[in-house]
Amino acid sequence: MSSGNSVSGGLESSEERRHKKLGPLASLFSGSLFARRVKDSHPKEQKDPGWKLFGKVPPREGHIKDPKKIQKEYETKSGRAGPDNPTSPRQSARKNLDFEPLSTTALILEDRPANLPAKPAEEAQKHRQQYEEMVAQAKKRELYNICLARAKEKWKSIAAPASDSEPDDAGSSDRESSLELIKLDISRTFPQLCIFQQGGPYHDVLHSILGAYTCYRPDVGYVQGMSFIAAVLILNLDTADTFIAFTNLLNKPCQMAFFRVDHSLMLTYFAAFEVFFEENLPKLFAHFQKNNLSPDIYLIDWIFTLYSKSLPLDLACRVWDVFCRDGEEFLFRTALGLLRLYQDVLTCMDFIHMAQFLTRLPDLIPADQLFQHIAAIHMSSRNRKWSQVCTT
Amino acid sequence: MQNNHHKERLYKILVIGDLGVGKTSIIKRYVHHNFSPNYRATIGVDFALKVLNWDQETVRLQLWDIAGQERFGNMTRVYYREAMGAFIVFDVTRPASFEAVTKWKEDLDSKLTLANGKNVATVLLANKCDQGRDVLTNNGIKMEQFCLENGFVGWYETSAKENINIDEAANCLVKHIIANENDMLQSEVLDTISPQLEKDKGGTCSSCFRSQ
Repeated sequence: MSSGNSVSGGLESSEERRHKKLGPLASLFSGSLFARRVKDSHPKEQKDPGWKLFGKVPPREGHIKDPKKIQKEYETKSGRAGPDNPTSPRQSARKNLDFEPLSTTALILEDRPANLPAKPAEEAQKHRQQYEEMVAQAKKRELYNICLARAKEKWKSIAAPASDSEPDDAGSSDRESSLELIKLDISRTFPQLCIFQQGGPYHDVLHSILGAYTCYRPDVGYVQGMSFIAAVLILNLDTADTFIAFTNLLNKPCQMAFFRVDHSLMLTYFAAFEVFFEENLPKLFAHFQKNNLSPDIYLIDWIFTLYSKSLPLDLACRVWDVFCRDGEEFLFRTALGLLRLYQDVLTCMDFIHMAQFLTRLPDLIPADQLFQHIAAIHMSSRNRKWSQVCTT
Repeated sequence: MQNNHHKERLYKILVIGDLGVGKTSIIKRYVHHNFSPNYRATIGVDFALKVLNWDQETVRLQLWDIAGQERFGNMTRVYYREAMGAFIVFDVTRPASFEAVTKWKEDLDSKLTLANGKNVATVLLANKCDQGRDVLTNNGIKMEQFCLENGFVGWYETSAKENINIDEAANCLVKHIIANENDMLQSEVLDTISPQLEKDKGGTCSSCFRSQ
């Protein structure tokens, strides 16, 4: 794609650039990896496809359209692969792609005026593709913009406390006040980075993403821990992509169980974790049992924030990389790797010191050693894999 | 009990209250004697240990700093188990956090009682008092009355930032916890014949045993 002057060339290179920028998050963003994995291991989870954002499942799309595939088809059909066949100047292609209309309704494909000569087939196809790309871009932002607009409405009504009469009935009140809680948590998200706090460059972005999510999924609302996940995504993606990645990530079975605080499901995860804990680290497991140190005490923080709060950020991102590849199992494997790494220290501690240690891990964790210990964890118990243990 | 002169007491203390009222800050001030405006949100539960010298005894306070979001309630309530005392914290600049105090107290009392059926000693902390006293003055609430009605053993205007009243509040709680414990031991000794205790005491009366 060096000279990629055609539209398709421009597309491909921008796509590639984005992939480079996203790194392993790209798969998370597109959702395709997760969609497939989820399908494999939990066929039943798929019954609610309406929530999947831009993944492979939305029913409206009909058949799956991978932009790259479309492009390949187009290239072979039109017989001009990007690099060899420069047609339109790159600049204009770029310009078109940068145009992101706020709503799909703004994109009306008007008929060509009758007094103009017919477009060559190739050009017509090219324009159609440009149009589709624009629609896709707009669609991507559309849902986010709608949700954000709703959130802003709610913020306004909170800011004007004229009608303080809203009944605070138990149960719903927690979810209702989500927007209020977000405000309190934002400045407490990675405070050491000084970018999410009031006045910081990403304060409003984090605020918007979380606010939009509570309007997108009012049934889930804002739950502590989300701010850390959104913050990590913001550090890696642009806003619209962050929203999509965030919603898809929270839609994964394990994350849904935790963020909905589905107690019995969480206990299932903890129990499965303990099976592998005992299998891999029997001595430490016995020590924990003796001291009544149950996994919820340290796992809740680790799983809710995907280690972004408990591990140094660079290490957390490495964990995310493999989590994107291996799925939820890796979160629990990481926990066991951490316990294995600190096994000797922990065995000498009593309950309170262990609890303190695990809820506040050392600032300096030897990364390579940690990953060696994670690698040394066997994720099979009596020939059963994680997913099998989890479902029994 | 083997060594009467260096008896150690270990108490589990809960620190609860709405999100962002300053629970973690209070604990950090109390245990580590410092303050930072940049604490991270607590997810689940955090821990701290404070060791006190109390009448020639060592008192260890196991502080359970429990996440404030109501949603975590079902999960974090298991952490109430075996606690001997609690701080319920609210933020004087946020009336809603004060309104939640009775909810927290009722929740605590419904989930946790001492062996003698009494509620655990609970102290109310009106935190961030360095930032104004809106809640306390505007509502015309008589705090002493409020504490009596809701079963708090005391209340303090605190500031983790300015180090106001944190030690005082903790001492008040410890005092009540010890009193409760002594109460329970006394009634135990009075009400039941316990051969084990008899053996240990070596014939002294129950009050002598208490004072050891």
